[in-house]
Amino acid sequence: MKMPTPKTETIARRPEIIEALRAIVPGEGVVVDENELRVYECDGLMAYKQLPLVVVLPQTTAQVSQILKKCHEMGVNIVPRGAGTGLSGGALPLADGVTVGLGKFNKIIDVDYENRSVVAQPGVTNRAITDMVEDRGYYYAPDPSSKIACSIGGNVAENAGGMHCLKYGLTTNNLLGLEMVLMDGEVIRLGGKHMDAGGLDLLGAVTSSEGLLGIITEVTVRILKQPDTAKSLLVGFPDIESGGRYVAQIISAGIIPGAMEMMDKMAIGAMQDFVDSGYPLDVDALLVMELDGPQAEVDFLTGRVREIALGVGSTFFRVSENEAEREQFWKGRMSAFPSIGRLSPDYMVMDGTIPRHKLPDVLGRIDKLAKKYDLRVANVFHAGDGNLHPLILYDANVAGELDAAEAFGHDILQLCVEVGGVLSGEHGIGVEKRDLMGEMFTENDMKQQQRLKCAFDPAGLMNPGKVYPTLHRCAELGRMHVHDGKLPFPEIPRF
Amino acid sequence: MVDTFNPENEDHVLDVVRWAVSNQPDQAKSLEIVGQGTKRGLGSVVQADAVVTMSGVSGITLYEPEELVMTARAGTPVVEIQAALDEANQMMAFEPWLPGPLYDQNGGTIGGLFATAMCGPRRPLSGSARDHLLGFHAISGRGETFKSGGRVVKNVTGFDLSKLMTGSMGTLAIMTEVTFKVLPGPQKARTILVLGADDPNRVMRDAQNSPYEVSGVAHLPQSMAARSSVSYVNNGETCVTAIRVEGPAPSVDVRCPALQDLLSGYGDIRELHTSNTVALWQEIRDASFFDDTHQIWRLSVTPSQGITVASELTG
Repeated sequence: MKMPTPKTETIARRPEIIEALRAIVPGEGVVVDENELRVYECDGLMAYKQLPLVVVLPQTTAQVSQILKKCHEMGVNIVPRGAGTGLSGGALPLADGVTVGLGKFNKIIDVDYENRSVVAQPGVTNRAITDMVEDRGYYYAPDPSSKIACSIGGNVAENAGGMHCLKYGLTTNNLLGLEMVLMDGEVIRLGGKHMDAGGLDLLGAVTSSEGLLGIITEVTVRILKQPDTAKSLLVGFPDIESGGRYVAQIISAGIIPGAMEMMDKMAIGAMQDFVDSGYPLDVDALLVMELDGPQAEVDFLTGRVREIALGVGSTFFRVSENEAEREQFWKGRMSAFPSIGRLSPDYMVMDGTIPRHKLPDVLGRIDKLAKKYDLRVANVFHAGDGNLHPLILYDANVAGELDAAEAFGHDILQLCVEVGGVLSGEHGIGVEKRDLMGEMFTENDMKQQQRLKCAFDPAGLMNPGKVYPTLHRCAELGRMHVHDGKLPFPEIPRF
Repeated sequence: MVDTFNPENEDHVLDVVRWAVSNQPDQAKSLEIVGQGTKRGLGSVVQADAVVTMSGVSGITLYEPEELVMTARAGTPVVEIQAALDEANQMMAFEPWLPGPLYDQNGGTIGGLFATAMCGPRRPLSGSARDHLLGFHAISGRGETFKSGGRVVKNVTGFDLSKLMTGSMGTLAIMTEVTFKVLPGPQKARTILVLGADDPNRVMRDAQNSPYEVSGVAHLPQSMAARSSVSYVNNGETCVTAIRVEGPAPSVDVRCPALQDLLSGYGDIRELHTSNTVALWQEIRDASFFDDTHQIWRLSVTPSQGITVASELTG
C-alpha cells in the first residue's frame, strides 16, 4: 500500500503552517510536539502508521472554516478525524497533511422529542445519543460494535452499520441533516429535521464519503421509540448450510428480525471461552437473533421461528427469559474481536458483503483458502444483510505471515465480488481496500465517482490517497476526448 | 421537429448519447429522458433537442424474494414489477406514489419512479426511494457506461451515487438498470380514524411517539375527507386524522386497541379493516383527492410544523 508522495515544499513550510493555524486556534489546539502527534499516527487500522505534519483541534465551525480556507490557499492537504476508531485507515495521517481532529465538538445541541430528532456535534459518541434520550424511552438505531467510542461524525463519514441494520437501516437511513465545511472554507447545510429536500440528494452522497468531500461540523439524526419488548434467541445448527437455509426461510416467511448474527465453530468456542454467553459448543453454526416489538408480536414470532428451526434440523433453540439473559446472549457476539484476538497475536478483519444464499459456498471456499495459506480463520456474519467478517489469525513476528494474511484477505474480497457481493459492508475502503477497488469497479465507474469529488474539492486536498487507487486531476476528468473536433459517432442512430 | 429515439438495449442508449455529444460543444444536442412519460407533469416543461424513450429497455433481470432484492431494466413497467412482488407477497416498502389516479395514466416505469424519488405514507417508518435503491447502471452525459453500488443491502464501497441518482429527474445520467431492496408485505393492516380532532398535530405526534410502530399518519381536512371513497372517512362531516398499523395479525390486534386508548381523548374513534385501509392509503399516497386541473405542491417540512404550514397556505 503506497501513499501519494508527500510534497516536500509543504513539509518545508511547516513552521509557517503552524503559525497560521495558531492564529486561528489559540493555545493547545495546535499539536506539534512529536510525542503528542504520536497519538494520532493511526486509527483503528493499526497496520499503517504515519506521523501527521501537524494536528489541529478546533472547537467551532468558524475555526474549521478558517482552517480549511487557509490550507486551501496554501495548498496543504487535510485529513479529517473523528474518534479514530475506523477500521479501514480513513483517518491515516499524511506526512504533508494537517489532521483536523473533531474531538472537541462533543456537545449535544438539541433534543427534539416532538420531531424525534437529535442535533449533535460530530465528536459526540454514537452511544451518547442513546444515553441522552434513553430515559424518555428513545434510542438511536445504528449500533456499530465500537458505539461507546466511535463518533457520530465518523459514523456519517463511513456510513456505519451495526447489528440492527436489516430492520432499522444504516447511518444513511437514520440521518436527517448535516452542517459541513468544504475545502475552500464554505459552510453548507444539507437537510434538516424534515425528511426529504428538493434538488439533488447531497446529504446521501456525502454520507460514506470517507472524509473526501468536506468536514462535518453538525449532525441531525432521527431517534426511535424503544420497542416494548426485546428477546434474544440462540439457534444452533449441525452445519453452516442448515443455518443459511434457516435465515432464508425466516425472511421468506415475511419475518424481519431486529438482528441475526451467525458465527462458525471456531468463533463460537472463542466467544464462549472469553465470556459465558450460554453458547452451545456442540454445533457448527450458531445464530444469535433478536425479536423486538410489542409483546404479542414477539411471542407470535418466537413461535414461528421455533417452527422453522425444527423444520431445518436445528439442534439447539433457546429464548432469553429475562433482560439479564438477553444481554448474556449478546455478550459473546459483542466481544467477537477481543475473544478471537486471544487465539492469536494478530488478526485481520475482513468486511465483504455477499448475497446471503452464497454463504455456505463462500465459507467453504474460505476454508480451502485457509488451508492453502496455512492460516486459521474465524467467521462472524451479519446473517440478515449478508455482511461477512472473517477474522484471519496470524503472527506478525513470524516471517511471511503478514504477507500471507494480506494475500488471503485479498482472495476473500475477490471471492465476495465474484459471487455478486462487495468489498466493504460497513468498515469503508480507506487505504485498506483502496487498491482492490478495481476488482469491483471499472476505470469509468471510478472516474464517475471521482467527478463527484471534483465538484466538492477540485484541488484534491481533502484526504488524498484514500478510497481511490488512482488520483485523477479534476481537469483531466472534465476533459472530453474529441478527435478532429468530433467524437466518433456523427451519424444519428434511430431505433 | 424533435427527434425521438426508442432504444431497446443499453448499447442503443449509449449510441444515442454519443450522437448527442458528438458535435462541437456549442452544437451538442440536449436530451429529454422519459419512461412512459407519466410524470411529465412534475416540475417544469423540458425543452430538449431530442427525446429518449426508455420503455423499450425493459424486463426484470433478477428477482430473489428470499434475498429481498430485485433488478430491472429502467423501462420496466411498474405494474409488471408490482405483479411479480404481489406474487411473492412482497412490496417496495417506500410505497411509491403512482401517477395513475391523478393523471389518468398507468404506473410509469421503474426508472422513472427512482428518477423522481417518489415515496408514500410509509416514508417515516420505511424510508424513501433513496433508501431502497441499492445500485444502478447508467450512461453518463459523456457517452460512457458506468455503474455504482451493488445488489446487497450493506455496502460502503465507493461513493453512494445511488442517492444522487434518486430524484435527479434525469439530469445526471440515463439509468439503464436499477437494483433495489424489497420487503415482505404486511400480513394485516388496520387504520384508526380520529374524527374532528381539535389539535391533529398532537394526535399525529402521540401516535408516532408511541411504541406501537405506526406505518402512516395523515390528516385530511373536512373538504378532503369528503372526497374519499371510504365511507367512514367521507360521511363524518368533520376532519379526519388517520393512523395506520401494519404487521403480523396478533401484533396488530394488540396495537390497535392500545392506540385507540391513547387517542380516545382527541375525538371520536373509528377503525378501518383491511380493504378500507388499502383504499384510503392509496388515495392518500396518490393524492387522488385531486385531479389534473389542480396545481399540486408536495412540501416536506419538520413534522410538528405540518399543520401550521398547511393552515398558513390556505389562509
